[in-house]
Amino acid sequence: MKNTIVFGYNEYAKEIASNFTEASMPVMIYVIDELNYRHAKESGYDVELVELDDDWLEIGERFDVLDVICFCALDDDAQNVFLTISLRAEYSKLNIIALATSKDSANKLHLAGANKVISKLETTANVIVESLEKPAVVEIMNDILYHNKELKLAEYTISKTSPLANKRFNDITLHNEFNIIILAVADQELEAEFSFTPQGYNHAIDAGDVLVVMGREDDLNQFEKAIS
Amino acid sequence: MGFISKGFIDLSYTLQASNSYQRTKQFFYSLLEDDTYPYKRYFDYMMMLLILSSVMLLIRQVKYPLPEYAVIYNDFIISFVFLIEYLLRLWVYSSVSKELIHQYEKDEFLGLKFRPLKALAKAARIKWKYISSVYAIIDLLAIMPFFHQLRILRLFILFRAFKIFRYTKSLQQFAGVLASKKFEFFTLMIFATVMISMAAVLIYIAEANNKDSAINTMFEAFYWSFVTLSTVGYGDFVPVTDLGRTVAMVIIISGIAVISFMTSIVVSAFTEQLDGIKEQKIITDITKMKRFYLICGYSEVSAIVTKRLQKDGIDFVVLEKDPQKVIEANKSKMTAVCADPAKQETYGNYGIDLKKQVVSVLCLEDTDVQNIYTALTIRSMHPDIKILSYLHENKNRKKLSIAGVNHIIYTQELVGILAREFSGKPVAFEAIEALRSQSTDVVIEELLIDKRILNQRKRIIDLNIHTTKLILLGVYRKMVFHFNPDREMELHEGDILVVIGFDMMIKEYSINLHKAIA
Repeated sequence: MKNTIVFGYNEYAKEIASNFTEASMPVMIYVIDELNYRHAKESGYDVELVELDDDWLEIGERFDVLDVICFCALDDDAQNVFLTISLRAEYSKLNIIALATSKDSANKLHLAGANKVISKLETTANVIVESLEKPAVVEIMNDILYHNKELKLAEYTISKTSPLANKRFNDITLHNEFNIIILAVADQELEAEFSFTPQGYNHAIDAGDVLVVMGREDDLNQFEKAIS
Repeated sequence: MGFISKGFIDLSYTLQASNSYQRTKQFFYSLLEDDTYPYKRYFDYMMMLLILSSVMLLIRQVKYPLPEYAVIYNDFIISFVFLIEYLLRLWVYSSVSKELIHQYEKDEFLGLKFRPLKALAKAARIKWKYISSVYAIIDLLAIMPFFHQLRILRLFILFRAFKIFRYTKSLQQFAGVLASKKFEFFTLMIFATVMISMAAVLIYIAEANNKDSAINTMFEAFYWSFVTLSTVGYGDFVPVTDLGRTVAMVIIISGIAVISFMTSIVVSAFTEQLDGIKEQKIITDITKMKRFYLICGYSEVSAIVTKRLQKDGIDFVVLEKDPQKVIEANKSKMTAVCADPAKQETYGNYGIDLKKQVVSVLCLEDTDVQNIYTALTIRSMHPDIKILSYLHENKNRKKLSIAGVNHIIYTQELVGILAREFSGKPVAFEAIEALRSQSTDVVIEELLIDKRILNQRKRIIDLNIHTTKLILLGVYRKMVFHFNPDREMELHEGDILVVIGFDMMIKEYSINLHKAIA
């Protein structure tokens, strides 16, 4: 099971941590001040009080670096950038997700080596605009992504022995039998460049590619069995 | 009650009660006087065209004789149109029948004998007030060529040029701005008149009897001092005596003073009125919009939201009470108003019709307190309007709901869920994010099944979507999503197709859907 590390204990960090504990995934929280340390402790989390200029060797000792996700959710963008850069300097393979206030600091966090940056303002604005212009899409996406409804989004990595391997995307008909829709295919060779299905009609599927599919839970399970 | 006065009263009541009469009067009132009436513009353009053609004919006839039809057009047709317009304006200015009824009911109430003459006199006074207004006088003079073939009356055509003021708002505003400085202009006029008169008299005394001087009459003296004071100085009349030249020196200096004073009056009038003019323009812009989103508060989130709405070409109006932020918003060329969204009068002042114009309200202010207050204000004015609000602190969530907010956006929550989704399914998540953020050409869109489509296509398979390179995710019907529907599924009016594909292809597909099947 994947481990999750959250840096900071503000409202954002709390939401992230609670989302993972709800999904019964282990969460470790690192804070840089006494007050938050007490708050997090009271809420029953594993907490560690650290200095921002720590050498972070402890993370390597405690977790398997390839199997942990770090969320940098400190209050200040500058602190987040510093934290991201320190972590990246120590661990080149660590999966780092950082929160940014604006587009400006999002760019800096990308440069600092974050694998993924979540821009708070942009995310909010996108959700607002989408809910104005495409209410049905928002409803459906929320159901699929956030609520545990029947309809689900899933991703499957194609193995060498899969019946889909070495086939052109256009030729695949297998999914029709299971009433699912293939949304996208991510090519490992192209370093997770996406070919959305309309564009990727001629995409040749190799072992290691990732299919993004949507469907009902039962159908998805059967489809997974069929392609493995 | 006399026979005549009874007739008056009966007629008045009939007119007041007549729907078609009131409607006709209202129509002409809107066409002539109501700036917010959409067709008034076309009427104004037509009148301006008439005026311009008339002035052009006037210029033409200075050197060349006009053909017969042009004379008829200029002297009769245009004048006739103007006459009709004048009478209509006089008609809609006030209501005589209302006056009569008012007087009648008053007399009745006081137990007096009905005095129709008193009412008529009052009605006439009101009409006279219109007739004696500057605009009405210009209108009347512009009709003049109609009455006479006298050459001097041709000059009255120039009054038609003045009529232009009536039909162009910017000229009216210009005149209005200058009128705000009436007192200053008046003072300046007095000063200039005194200076010109004194200089004229002095120069006449000094030069009229001098053989070398060209200034011989009082009119020439006036003409000279006017030309000199205005700093134009043609040089056709020049003082030759010492006294005359001394007068010239004094009047040249005062001329500079007069000109600079005048310039400063005009400039200060405009700077003082500039905000008002700008605001007037914004109000006109807002009343012209048919449907728009109302954004309360220009916060950081609003800045990004408005940018996206602008990109998609969607109308919106920003209400923000901090003038500094309004300036910032205006830099991005949007309709932003410096007004408090939490005050009811704001909506009246700026002509915002919540019921007819506003699609939904977005409360994006900097604190929850402001958002709640604004939401309550709007909810109290319109019980059904859709309100979306940004939530700053989770503890205020319930308060926002009570205030009547339909949709609450809480960034922390969004980020938390995003984080979980991303860690579980990073590829799928990126794909969905790319679709939603519209950063690529591939988008997820909604297509509404309307009557026109339904007339020719009854089932999913008739939509021919399977032959295109678009993905039909499903059909959204009455709050229920039918995922990947069967091709035989029947379509209903109001169904929403959720489609993924290239932006351009979806647009083209939507057009094709509406086309008739050959």
